[in-house]
Amino acid sequence: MSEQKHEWGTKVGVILAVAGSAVGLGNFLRFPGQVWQNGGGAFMIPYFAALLLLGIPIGWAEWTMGRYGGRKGFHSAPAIMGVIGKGPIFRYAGIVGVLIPLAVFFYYNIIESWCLGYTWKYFTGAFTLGEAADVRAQVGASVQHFQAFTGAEADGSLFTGNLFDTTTGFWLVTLAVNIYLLYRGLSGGIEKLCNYAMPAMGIIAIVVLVRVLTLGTPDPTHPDYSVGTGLGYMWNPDFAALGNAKTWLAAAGQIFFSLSVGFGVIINYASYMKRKSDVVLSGLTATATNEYFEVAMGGMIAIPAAYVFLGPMITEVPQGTFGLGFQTLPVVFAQMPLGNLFGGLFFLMLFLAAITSSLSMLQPTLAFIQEALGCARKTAVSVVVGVTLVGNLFILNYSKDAVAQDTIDFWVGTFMIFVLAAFQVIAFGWVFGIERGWKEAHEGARIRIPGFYRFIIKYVSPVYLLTVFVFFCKDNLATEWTKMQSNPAGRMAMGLVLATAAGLVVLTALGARRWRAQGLDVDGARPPDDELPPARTPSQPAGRRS
Amino acid sequence: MDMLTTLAPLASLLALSPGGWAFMLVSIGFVLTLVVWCFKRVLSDDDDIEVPPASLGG
Repeated sequence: MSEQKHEWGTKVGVILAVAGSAVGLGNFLRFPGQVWQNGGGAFMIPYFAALLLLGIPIGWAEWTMGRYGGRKGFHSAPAIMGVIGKGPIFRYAGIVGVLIPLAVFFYYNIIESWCLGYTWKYFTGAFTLGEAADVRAQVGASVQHFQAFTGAEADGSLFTGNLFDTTTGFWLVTLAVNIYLLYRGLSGGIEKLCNYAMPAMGIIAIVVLVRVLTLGTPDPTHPDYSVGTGLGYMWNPDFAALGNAKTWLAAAGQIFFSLSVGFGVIINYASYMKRKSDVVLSGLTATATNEYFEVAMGGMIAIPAAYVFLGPMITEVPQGTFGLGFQTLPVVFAQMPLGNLFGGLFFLMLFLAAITSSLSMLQPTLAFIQEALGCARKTAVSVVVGVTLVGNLFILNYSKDAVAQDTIDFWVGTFMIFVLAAFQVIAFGWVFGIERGWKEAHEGARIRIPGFYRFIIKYVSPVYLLTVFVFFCKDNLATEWTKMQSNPAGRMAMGLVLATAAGLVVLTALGARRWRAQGLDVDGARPPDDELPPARTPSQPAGRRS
Repeated sequence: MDMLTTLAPLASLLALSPGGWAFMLVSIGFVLTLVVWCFKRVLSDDDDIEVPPASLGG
């Protein structure tokens, strides 16, 4: 379909690339907040249930669909979903698999540049909160620094003054790095980065973890502010929470968002694998890697560290995924011996987590443009750069209180993921067919999926997913809609998303026409070419084999 | 990818309880075992993906 055939270099490479896509800020910052908020250690019961019933099976389905689509000559979610779902409904639903990573990149790249900016400031000693001041004053200074750095005080503020005093300069650097690596391609860019970044992230996480676990009781006047109470604060189980439906929904939500299933990346990445390349063990390994970073690292670093220095005051600092990381933890590093070093390492770890995720977000769009328009990779990269520049500049300009960013985060980065995953699991289990899907998944598989997963993929995962989705909509939809409509930046962000979606619809229509003209099996009506018997040449009569 | 969250009010000032220890160790033990087992299997198999020529991948 393109001027060159793109493939992964090694099996470990594709696993690390998918894991790199999944491991992001949510592993280190969102997960500990969810555990703490929903029953401590008891949260892990619904969490692992969701992992086994939702995350792993839908992940396997997505890997399998992606590789199957690749065998048919397709690499984009709309084309692959059209093949799996046998027609235009699923093909157009597949647009969501391009829209999600592209629109999320509009703001994720900005957050990535916050990580880079904080890393730079820590390592150069430019980040100070006034070590002599009391903790409350430092909290105020940290919040103020974050707001100025991210332009939360006023729209357009990021385009004034020194570029490297705020997000803007660091955004230019991160965008350039992303584009360069994207231009280098799958094995030369994404895979190579993940091969280095993932182990580096693991080593840094262990260094930071050891530092946190050896903090002891740094303030003798507060003997209860210790690592032990910090861990107890987070992990002590509250079994009463298990009787609350919200705990189960939160656990399913965390698994869902953390693993990047229904995000449009796995289906694209898996499409570059060969027919006999394993997807079962690879999918499980990528999931396990994500879980390692989430549970073993994310569960042990941020909140215990914050508790050791701030104690109950932790609740007074602005919270949330980004609040914990960018406003609370700088106060912790200000209290910690060698705080600049460990602060720099921590934000470098977050930057690596973010860049391996952000890079994966552009590849599905790139593949889609190449496929739909039949253009060269260089041309497709130029189109992607143009679109992402518009999106990034929009988010940078409408930075006040992060309304534009939050709007896209909810409607695309959260809501749409449910929609795509629902289409994917239904297409795989019900349209493509569970028996056919099962056989396809096991082509070249290094391990067997336990037989009861047939039932889970066909019935349990869709029901579980739709239940979580209904409750999620009931709890959030009306509020988020009102919030979006009440703010001009929110309305414009929604307009940007809809305009992007409209462009993708047009491209899909053009692409479908082009694929048909090329004789490709757009509606999944026949087996892949590599399953058809070899064609006989005129000199080779029927029944005679060479 | 990330949904903004609000952290809960202060829960307790208790040190890590036996239940907390158990959940923490079992959870970490489970994911560590899984990741080690998976990578051991992946690395012990022959690589079934052909390495493309250097000119590819770009």
